[in-house]
Amino acid sequence: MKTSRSLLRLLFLLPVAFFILFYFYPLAAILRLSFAPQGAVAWDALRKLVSTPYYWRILWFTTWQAAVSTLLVLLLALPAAYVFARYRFRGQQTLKTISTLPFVLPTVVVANAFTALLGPNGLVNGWLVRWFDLAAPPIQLNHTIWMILLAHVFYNYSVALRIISAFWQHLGDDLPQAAQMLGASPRRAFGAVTWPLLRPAVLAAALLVFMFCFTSFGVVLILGGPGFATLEVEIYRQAVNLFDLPVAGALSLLQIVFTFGLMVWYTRAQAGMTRPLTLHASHQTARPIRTVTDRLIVGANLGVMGLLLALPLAALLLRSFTGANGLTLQFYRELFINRRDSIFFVPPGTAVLNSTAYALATMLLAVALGLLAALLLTQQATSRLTIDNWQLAISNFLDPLFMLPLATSAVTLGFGFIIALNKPPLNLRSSVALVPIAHTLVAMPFVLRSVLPALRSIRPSLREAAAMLGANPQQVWRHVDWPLIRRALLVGAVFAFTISMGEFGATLFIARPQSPTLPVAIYRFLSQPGALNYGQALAMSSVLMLVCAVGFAAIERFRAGDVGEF
Amino acid sequence: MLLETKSLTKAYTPGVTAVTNLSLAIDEGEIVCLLGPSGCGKTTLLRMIAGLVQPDSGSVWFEGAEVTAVPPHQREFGMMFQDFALFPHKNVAANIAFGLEMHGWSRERAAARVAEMLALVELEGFGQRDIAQLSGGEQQRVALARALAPGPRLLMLDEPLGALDRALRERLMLDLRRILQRVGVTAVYVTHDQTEAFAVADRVVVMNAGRTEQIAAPQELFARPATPFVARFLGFHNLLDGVVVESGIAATKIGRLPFDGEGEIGTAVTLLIRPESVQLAMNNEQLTTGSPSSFILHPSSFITGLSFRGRYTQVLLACNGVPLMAELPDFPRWRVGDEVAVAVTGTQVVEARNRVPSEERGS
Repeated sequence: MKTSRSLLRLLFLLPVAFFILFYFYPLAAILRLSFAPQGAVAWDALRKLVSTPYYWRILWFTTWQAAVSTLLVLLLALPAAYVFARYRFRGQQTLKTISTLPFVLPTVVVANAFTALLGPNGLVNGWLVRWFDLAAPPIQLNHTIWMILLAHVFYNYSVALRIISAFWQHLGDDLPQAAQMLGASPRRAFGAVTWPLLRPAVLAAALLVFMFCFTSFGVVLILGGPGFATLEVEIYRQAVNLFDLPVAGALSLLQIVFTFGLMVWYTRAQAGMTRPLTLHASHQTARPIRTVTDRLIVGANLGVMGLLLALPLAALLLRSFTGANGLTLQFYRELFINRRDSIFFVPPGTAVLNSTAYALATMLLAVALGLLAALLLTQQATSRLTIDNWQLAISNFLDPLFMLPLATSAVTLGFGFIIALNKPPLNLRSSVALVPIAHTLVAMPFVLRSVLPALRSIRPSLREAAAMLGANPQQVWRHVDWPLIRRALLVGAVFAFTISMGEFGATLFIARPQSPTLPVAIYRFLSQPGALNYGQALAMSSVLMLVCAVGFAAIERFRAGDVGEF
Repeated sequence: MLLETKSLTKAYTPGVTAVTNLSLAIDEGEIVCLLGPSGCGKTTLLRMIAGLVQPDSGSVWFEGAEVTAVPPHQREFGMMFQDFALFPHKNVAANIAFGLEMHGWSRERAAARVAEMLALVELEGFGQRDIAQLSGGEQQRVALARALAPGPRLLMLDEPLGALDRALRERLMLDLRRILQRVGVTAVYVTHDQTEAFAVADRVVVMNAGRTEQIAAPQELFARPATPFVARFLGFHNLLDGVVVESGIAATKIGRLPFDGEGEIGTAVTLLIRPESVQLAMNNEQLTTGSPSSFILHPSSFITGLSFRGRYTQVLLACNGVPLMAELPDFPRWRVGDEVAVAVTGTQVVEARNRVPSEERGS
């Protein structure tokens, strides 16, 4: 009994060991590379970074494009958040759910969706050329900043919408009404009461969006072309194209400092959202659409959503079926034919299989580790009989620690992997496990955030009641905890699967050339010339979108109520 | 004696004890109420008896054997939780059958027992319902049925009516007593509501700050509160300090008052004047006190508040500056500010402290 319990304890430490080995060890390798590449402390890489205006320009570009993207997102999402918080209309829930779909879509898919819509061979240009009989496509957005900003807005619109409208919905009308009864005009009531209460939610959303845009990789790499580079893209180029590892390391370090700072700020902002307010059930605060103004407000916002979210995805699908002579299945058929005898060419069918196998492995690993981590974090809650301050401190420290991969960019993770895990003591360079391990790091926080709230929401009295009725600890787990967290765990599992399917930044670094994943294969098609390659890239993107959409539908289906923090 | 706790002490944070050195004995078949304000340690005591909380020191004995270290699931006690703690993922029948399943009952026997329990709490036909479909009162009865189903040797109830509204509580406390008596189970019942305690319990343990103040049958408790805390908790607010000046008479700020019982001259006492022992009239001549021991108060008294309470009217008085409360059966014609004559027909000693003799004080 005693030994089995300490064995159990060791099992709980697995997630911690996983993190030390595959998160902190690679991070330390990056640190060493940038500060002491030859063993002795050297500042060369950092000095080069500081003294070269080129890198300052990259940092500046990374920052301002993120700031502008965030501003655009808020500008579009705030009115929509109001509409979703204050109006009640048919299909509202479905619409909100669908609007979240971009969040799980892989960057390559989104990038392709926008080129399919607005690129030189895109849908809109095609129409314009045909209708007005033009010689060249009139819209030249490809490889401009607009394309990047558009894609960022597409991606983050739903993030901001969800965070802000959820908070707004529960604010209730009584506080602004109280202000109006005290003599404030509706406008002043908004400025003096609603806005200050809403601000933490807006700030939290803004910070999250900023962080996503700051670390944007796939969108900038594919849509920006060679003229644009965020820190993230530059790390990749330095490491892979120029092979200047110390500079890549120094850039990663810069990136980490920035994202951690943002993460800390975000956590603070989020804590500000937990102001003690009487939160209302949403049905009390929403009103049906009645007047013409209502109709206009709601209609305009839904129109923006349609144009912004639905159109690019529709364009992607349509373009993937459109060849030179109209509708065709050619690109899909070509996916399974190896046209060239290049040793690096892998039939797309294999990429699908690779991705699926990696995603399944990631799912298993992330679910196992995520569940163990969640149990580790709630241990003091389950055995309330012995509140151990030391244990509590550990769990308070571990909780944010497990979230760190979210604050670390994918490219940094991948880069850390190739410099740390390709030599003894831990040589995994040629191991198939490398990709699932990297994906698990990214996916585990999602599993944890799905399971933890479910586990914490189980009232202690339920477990006590079971114990009083004669259930031993194992039976309590099997009959009370397990049935109550099963759905949340399933949500986490599907999250892990979807994330792994779409992960691009880290995989580009670590996937072996002969076994690429879907996003990597799409990227390779894009870098080859010719309409056929482009068409195949679109076809594969469509397949990937479909897989992620199905996964997303499953998540929404299984999500019980609003439990879960994503 | 079925259950005994010996010198139980529990501190959640070091230095702040929730329960201090508490000993208690409960007989077979008894319904005992732990009564006290929130934070008095009654729930902690209950949870130590259940085994859900380990005491820092002291022990719990059941049928003459020590059970302090026995985990809750092996004690075969039943418990009803304040939030009912019904399993949301199981229906009514599965909730009631849970304990039977844990004890290895066969499916048929369990089904029969569940039906029997549903009949006991008058919820026949509710077996397949979801927990979320039940009203508060129905949930309460399912929780009771679930706790009783395995035939616990001791039933514990933690504020079982606390989550319900007043009207429902009134009805259910009688149901609860009827069911507990019919089953004949020994029960420990935690509540902060004296009406509930009086309606359900054979014996009431009044707790304050982790200690027992008084253990008595409800009638006894109401008739003779043993401490100022108990008196105040039961809603008696006329507590007056005084000194015994002759046999059965104490001097107070509002005059000399009679009291029941013995008291050495010179003893400092706290007297309880029950509201029904306060009589009011326009003037001293109109006071029809009747009782030989009634004392007319000399200082001038004014009405400071009148509040209609249905069956009686509560009258607040200032008697030589001391607030007093009286209850009159009908609504009087007086107004706030009127001067009235007051008589007190009797008082009780709720606390007596032997005064330090004056000759010792100097040395």
